[in-house]
Amino acid sequence: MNPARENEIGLKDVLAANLHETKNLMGQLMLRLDAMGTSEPPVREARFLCQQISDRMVQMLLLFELQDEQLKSQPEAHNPADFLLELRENARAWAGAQLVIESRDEGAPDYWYFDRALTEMALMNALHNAFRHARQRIELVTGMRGDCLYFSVRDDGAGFPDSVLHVAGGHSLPISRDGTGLGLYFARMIAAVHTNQGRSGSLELRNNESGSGAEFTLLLPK
Amino acid sequence: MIDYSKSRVLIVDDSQAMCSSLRITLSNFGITRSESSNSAGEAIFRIRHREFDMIVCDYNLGDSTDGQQLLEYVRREHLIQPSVVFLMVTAERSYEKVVLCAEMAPDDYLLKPFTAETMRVRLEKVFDKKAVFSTIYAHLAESRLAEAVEECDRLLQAQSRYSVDLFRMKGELLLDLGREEEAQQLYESLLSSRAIPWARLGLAKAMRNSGNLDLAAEQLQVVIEEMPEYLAAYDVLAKVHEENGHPELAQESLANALRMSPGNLVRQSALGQVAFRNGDLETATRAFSSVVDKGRYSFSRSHNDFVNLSRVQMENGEFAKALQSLNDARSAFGTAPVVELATSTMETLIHHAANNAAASTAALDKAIAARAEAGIDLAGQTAIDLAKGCFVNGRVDEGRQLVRDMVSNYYDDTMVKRSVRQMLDAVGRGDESKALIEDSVADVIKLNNDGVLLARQGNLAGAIDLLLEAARRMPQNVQLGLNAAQALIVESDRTGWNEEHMREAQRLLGRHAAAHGDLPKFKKIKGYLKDVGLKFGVKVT
Repeated sequence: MNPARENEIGLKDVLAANLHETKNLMGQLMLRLDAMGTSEPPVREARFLCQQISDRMVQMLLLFELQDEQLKSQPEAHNPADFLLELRENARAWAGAQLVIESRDEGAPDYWYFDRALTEMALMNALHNAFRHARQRIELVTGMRGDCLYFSVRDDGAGFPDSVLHVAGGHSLPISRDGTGLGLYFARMIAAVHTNQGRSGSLELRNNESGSGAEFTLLLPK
Repeated sequence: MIDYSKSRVLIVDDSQAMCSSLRITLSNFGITRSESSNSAGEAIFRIRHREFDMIVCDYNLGDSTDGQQLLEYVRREHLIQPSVVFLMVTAERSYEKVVLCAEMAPDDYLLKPFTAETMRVRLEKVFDKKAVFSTIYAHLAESRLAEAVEECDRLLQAQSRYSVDLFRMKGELLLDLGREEEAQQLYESLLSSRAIPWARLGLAKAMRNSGNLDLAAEQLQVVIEEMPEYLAAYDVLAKVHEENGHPELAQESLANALRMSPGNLVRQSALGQVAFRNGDLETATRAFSSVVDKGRYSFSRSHNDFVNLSRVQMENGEFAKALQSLNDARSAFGTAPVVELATSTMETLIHHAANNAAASTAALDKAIAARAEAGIDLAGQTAIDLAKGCFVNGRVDEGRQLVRDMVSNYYDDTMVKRSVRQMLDAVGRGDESKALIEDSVADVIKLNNDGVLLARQGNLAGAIDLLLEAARRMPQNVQLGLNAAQALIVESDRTGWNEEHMREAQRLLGRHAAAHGDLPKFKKIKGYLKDVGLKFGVKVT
């Protein structure tokens, strides 16, 4: 290698090193806040804020990967019910006594191949939405529909506005300032990169038949 | 909730602050007995000196090494039991790919930043899995591989939620047991529903072990095409190529893997060795120099790295440099007999090449003395070098004996035979190589028969002397090992329990259990051992 080039540090390397350190610091902050316990609402709120900042950071990183066309899923065998339980435990810690958060296994298999980090990100966005809109209750559900595994986040709030539901199948989404649309955009991306033997995952948004509550469903192919 | 109060944990992270965050988090789960290390080297030191139940390790450990290398090292060297939990922590999402492509995966990994809740849930699952696998681990600790397979089957039949892990474990065990056909079936059925990289690699290994080298190479090309980052596949492909008589392709495969990940010193050293055998001294020099250079701060470095470099330097005619490398080895690793043996052996060859006969003889004397002191377990290349040293110093009989031992010891290893042939060519004894190699195989058979005959004639002590001495000289030879063990057990059966001899018999069986535990003869002798133990009321494991 050319010695002059070797000593040259590119912008990309600086960014990467910086992000790496940010994640480390964020990781420490998160664990320190968690160690303070959940009983005090201000601490709980701080923990939730910390999680939201972390999610935004991960989203930015995914944007870089998308830009470089490097976003690929790394599916490994995971237990869907365990995965959901982990999400539930985290959600309960953030919600405290304000919301009831349940998880339910409607017949998911013992394992399924999916990218845990990406799937968690998609569901985390759905969960943030549910936190904003739920009245009392959020349900996390996993099960099988046809050949696909699904993860759903259901709340008892006002439901998705028509504008979101109507573009659900299309590519263009209204991205509002609070980031609602952005989360759905990512979730759709994440569904799409879960492929096996020519089939890929999908995202489904609908409102509860009883008239209240939104249901976000991520479908992942076998 | 699991009771962690007795669990002992090692936290490995180059950041002191992260260590303390993890320590606080773990203590909130009830894990209070924790230690931390800020480097891989320090971690290895602690792991060698204390038993841990769990290791929480950061992937990024600074420049010279990473958590994945640490994991592979402690698992490969059996520094930790399979029951010990290894949890990786990392800020890199790309680690998912590392896990997918690694020969050894941690029990789980956490992507930073993560919450305490996530860590708690993951730990519970991992410990639950370890509990399900506990019977398998107990079998493994006693080298009862066939029983471990049966336990895998039992759990699979009970529809364990860990079926994927069980299939993976079972496949590896079948390969270790030499049950290639079953392994092949298992991997093929897994691959029919999904392209799982480790299953394809396993399939290739099964094909390689049953001698289908072309098919194995084909599968490995598929793995590499599907997932170019799967570096373990390049290593196996290199071995297949070399066994298949394509050493130049072997070298290319290793070089390809190293282009992607130049930091892997084990692979770098393997490249150096193939290149050396191929006569590509330039590549060999570069590879071994890099191992010595980058290995300076690595926990996995060994005196052999320096000896390998010295050997190429000698072949290049750089005698002063070659001797300096040996001095470096001595100052880094002290004067333990193994170091003395390897360095003095190389010194003999360097002085000979430099036409310094007296110094060459003196070094050879030192090497032989060190060998007597160190015992006889000679590492492959050192044995060949020592034989060469004997030949060039006119100690032809000793040289021949070393070659015979070497060949009988590794009678099914094509690379050893190739190196032996090259060495004999180099010392002008190429005409002897065919006879030496064939004779050695015949020698072992004769030794075995002599021992068995002595025993049958009632001279049990004579048989034991003969077979034990042969088994010590050729520790990899399974027939000798089993016959020696049998003679020792017969002796106790007839003349009363001989503690020392029976321990030796168990040691011999233990050595061959992993690779040959399934041989009917092995099982018979193991059963015999137990019977004799029962007869004298001694508990035998």
